[in-house]
Amino acid sequence: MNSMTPGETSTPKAADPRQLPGFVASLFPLANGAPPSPSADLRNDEVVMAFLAAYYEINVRWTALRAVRGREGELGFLQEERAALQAIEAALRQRDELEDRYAPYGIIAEPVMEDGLARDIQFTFGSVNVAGRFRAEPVVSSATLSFQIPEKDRRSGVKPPGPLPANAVTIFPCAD
Amino acid sequence: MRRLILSNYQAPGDIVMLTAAVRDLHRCYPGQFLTDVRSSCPELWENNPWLTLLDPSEPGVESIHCKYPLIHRSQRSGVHFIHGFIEHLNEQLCLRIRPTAFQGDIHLSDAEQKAPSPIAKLMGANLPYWLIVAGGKFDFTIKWWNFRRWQSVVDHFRGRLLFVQVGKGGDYHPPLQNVIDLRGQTSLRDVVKLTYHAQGVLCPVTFHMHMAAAVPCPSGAAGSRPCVVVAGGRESPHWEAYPAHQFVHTVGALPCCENGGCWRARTVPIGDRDSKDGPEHLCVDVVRGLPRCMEMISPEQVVARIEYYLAGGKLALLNQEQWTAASPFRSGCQPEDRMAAPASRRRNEAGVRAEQIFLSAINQQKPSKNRKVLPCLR
Repeated sequence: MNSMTPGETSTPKAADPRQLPGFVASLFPLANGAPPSPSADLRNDEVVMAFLAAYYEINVRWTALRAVRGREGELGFLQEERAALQAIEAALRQRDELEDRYAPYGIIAEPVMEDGLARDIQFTFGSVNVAGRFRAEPVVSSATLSFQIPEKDRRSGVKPPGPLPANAVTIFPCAD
Repeated sequence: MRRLILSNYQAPGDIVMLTAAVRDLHRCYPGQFLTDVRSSCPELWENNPWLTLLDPSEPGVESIHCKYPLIHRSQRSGVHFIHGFIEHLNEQLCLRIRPTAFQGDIHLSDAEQKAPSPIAKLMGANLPYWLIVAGGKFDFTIKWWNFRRWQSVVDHFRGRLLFVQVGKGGDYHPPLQNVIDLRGQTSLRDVVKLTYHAQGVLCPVTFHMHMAAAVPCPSGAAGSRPCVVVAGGRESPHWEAYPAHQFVHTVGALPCCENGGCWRARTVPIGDRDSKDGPEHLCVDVVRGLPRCMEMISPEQVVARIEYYLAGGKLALLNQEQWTAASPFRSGCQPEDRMAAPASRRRNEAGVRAEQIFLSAINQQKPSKNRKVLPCLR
């Protein structure tokens, strides 16, 4: 039986590329349209960083390939292009491995491509919904309603059951 | 005449089964009941001829919350889901309703039937297509097959079958390449219309499986709609499978589903704080991220089941012109998508290119007026 959760997989935490020397900010994708930020599920944050790092690597290598192809015809071009293609393939395989690892947990990382580069990654998580709330957590909300009870329907001496909430400001007219 | 309000707020697949019970109640007891429903899916009841607007506050109107406790005895008794609500109604109303058709009861208006398919509206051409569901809800992740396997099936039929990917927004539906992507874009009514025009459905055990059977076929088409279900060992086939479907299951082949479905909920815990993450609900035999029963089902097996329908003449294949017409609408066909394509597809494309180069070379080498080397379609 596999009882691990996404954050408990045996894979080491992905390094944040933003901390690495030579980081190119324009090649680092967004996560759901914004820079990565802490969420309700810290384990998911690690998954986000793993995918962002993987797509950053793809972007870097794709940019390198384009630079090589700009030098077509130069001495050693074919070898350089081959090396760049192999580098991209390796980065894509790394991304594929991540996808496979997290698929059973309901995690989808869908790239939004622009000019061949992954600019944004749209994440879906098994544990939380789009609002970042745990899927099985009950939604609790409260509302204050005030309304006038007609004089003829008022009953004196009737109190609401249980203690009033500490922050309640409503006076029950029936309890007057 | 008894007046009943029947209610159920479960998932859409359950509601499809309730439509069958309402139909069968009326067919078995004609003129004896007026029925109305309260459900989570009003769109599935549109145009339903068995419904009458009833007010629950009126005297004499009975309300029944419909259930299917029969499921708890389904391992031992050879019954289908279609018997589930019927048996409950029989108990509640002291009746002897029997199934009168082996399908749910979904209705389209005349206007809906005459309108072009949503795909024809999108593309401006009436192309045959299959619906594909490559995921599902988060409550029963054990029903999921790996998205690369779904992709392999799509890839196998590249150029011959057009797949339209559907799935409710917010659920788990990983994107597939080379399909028309309608994930998160369809209402239940859209699904009714899409299913009506679909020549086939490929899915796990899900709402769409029930819809494949319940939605009528267009007039002039074959009586049943092809459907291939990747089922594994969670559900007993006799409870879920429809006669005209290809239900790919492993019940009887594994200790964990030896005599029927295991009815477990999840492959691994997903951390959503649901009790279904508990060990008693988890798959006991996970292989490479899939329940063994699903891992045992290969894309080739699923392809073979679709090809049964092809061999039997139930399917129309696309021609080259139709496939090309669908290109602008297929996912992963835009140049900017290419680097993100999964490895399987990249390899497939490389193979296609190599094939084209080979054919072009060999045809140039052996020029002949009436002879030409053509690729052999698998």
